[in-house]
Amino acid sequence: MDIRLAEPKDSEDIQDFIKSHWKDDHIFVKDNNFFNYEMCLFGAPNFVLAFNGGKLIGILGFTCNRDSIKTSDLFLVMFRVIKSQASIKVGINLINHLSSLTKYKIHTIGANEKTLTYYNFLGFNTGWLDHFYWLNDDPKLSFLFIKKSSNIKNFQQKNTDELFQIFESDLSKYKFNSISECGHNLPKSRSFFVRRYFRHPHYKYVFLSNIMLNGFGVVREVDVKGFKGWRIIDWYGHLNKFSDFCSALIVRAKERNISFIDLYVKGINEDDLITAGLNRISESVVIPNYLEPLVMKNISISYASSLDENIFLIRGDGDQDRPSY
Amino acid sequence: MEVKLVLKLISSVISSSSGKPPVEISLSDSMETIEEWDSLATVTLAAALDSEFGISIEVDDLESLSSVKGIMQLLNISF
Repeated sequence: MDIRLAEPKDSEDIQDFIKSHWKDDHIFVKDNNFFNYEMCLFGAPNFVLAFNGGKLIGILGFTCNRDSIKTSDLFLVMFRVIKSQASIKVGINLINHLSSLTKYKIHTIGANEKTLTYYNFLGFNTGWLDHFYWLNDDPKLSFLFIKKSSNIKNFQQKNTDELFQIFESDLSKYKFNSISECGHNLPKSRSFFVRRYFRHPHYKYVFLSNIMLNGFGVVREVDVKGFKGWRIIDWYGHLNKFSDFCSALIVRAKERNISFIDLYVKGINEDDLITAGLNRISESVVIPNYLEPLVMKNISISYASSLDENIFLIRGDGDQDRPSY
Repeated sequence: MEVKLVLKLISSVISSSSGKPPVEISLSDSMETIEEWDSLATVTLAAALDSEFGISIEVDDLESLSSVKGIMQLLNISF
């Protein structure tokens, strides 16, 4: 068996494999430009491949949060091995090979619950992202999302500085790649934010900051049957400022008649988020995750990480905010 | 350990891993004879053997878990 990092010439074989063994209308198959944008970050597909007798039998796709594979934490986004007698350890060998390519750690977000056992076996730390929301207290803007109105509590909004939009040219003022600046072990690079959000071919992301944050949040507006919601996709700055960002975002959302704010995160103190005005998801509300097509259901998003401390994970890590048309 | 108990565990793990209804497992079964028995089910079996019987499986031992006979041998069960 041969396991190696993909080369530029492997793109077509990878897409054929996805078509045959994953989903024949997967966006990576249907949209070559998107495949190249998301999965070919450094001139070749970000895949580790397993071959048996020259036949492709397993793929492991990943994304990076910094400027090269070697200097990034790697996020698994696609993992599939064809069943065969030779394949029992193929998946494990693919992950081990990927681990050998970076100085940092391996993570995945949104893995199927059944595969968490697999990651546990390999020593990964596994669990579920915490899901929080804010719902506009104007019933005209929020009734669609309420199931049991009596259980939704009011909150006391903190005083916050007004958020303003920042642009690509503003990013130079931030110190990227710095663990001390972020307070966690997964800092991202400037080029990650540019590539992942400003260059996204389909989605429009808004970067928001204020004078107190020394950081910025990344938000995407979504539409649910004509109701507008803001998904908090990413954050750059110290963790202890994140709840201040959420608080300021709620003020902005109220001013702009936004129906809901949605957050999936790991590594932020729950009390801080509650104080900021968010609520932990409950059966009282539905904040849909799948919009294309719409599924009016709360969804739990898993994570697995080879890092066991100081983790900060958020929806924008991995590929949880990927188009799925 | 009873053979029946282990067969039931294997069936249950394969069903849980594949999301399909449990199938009857016999001593002659393996990954080759049970379509739903794949590498994910094999690793899930390793975790189940650890939690149910306290038997720690290393990566190098995974191939033993590709057949019922291999599992029985690993558990020192006569069959």
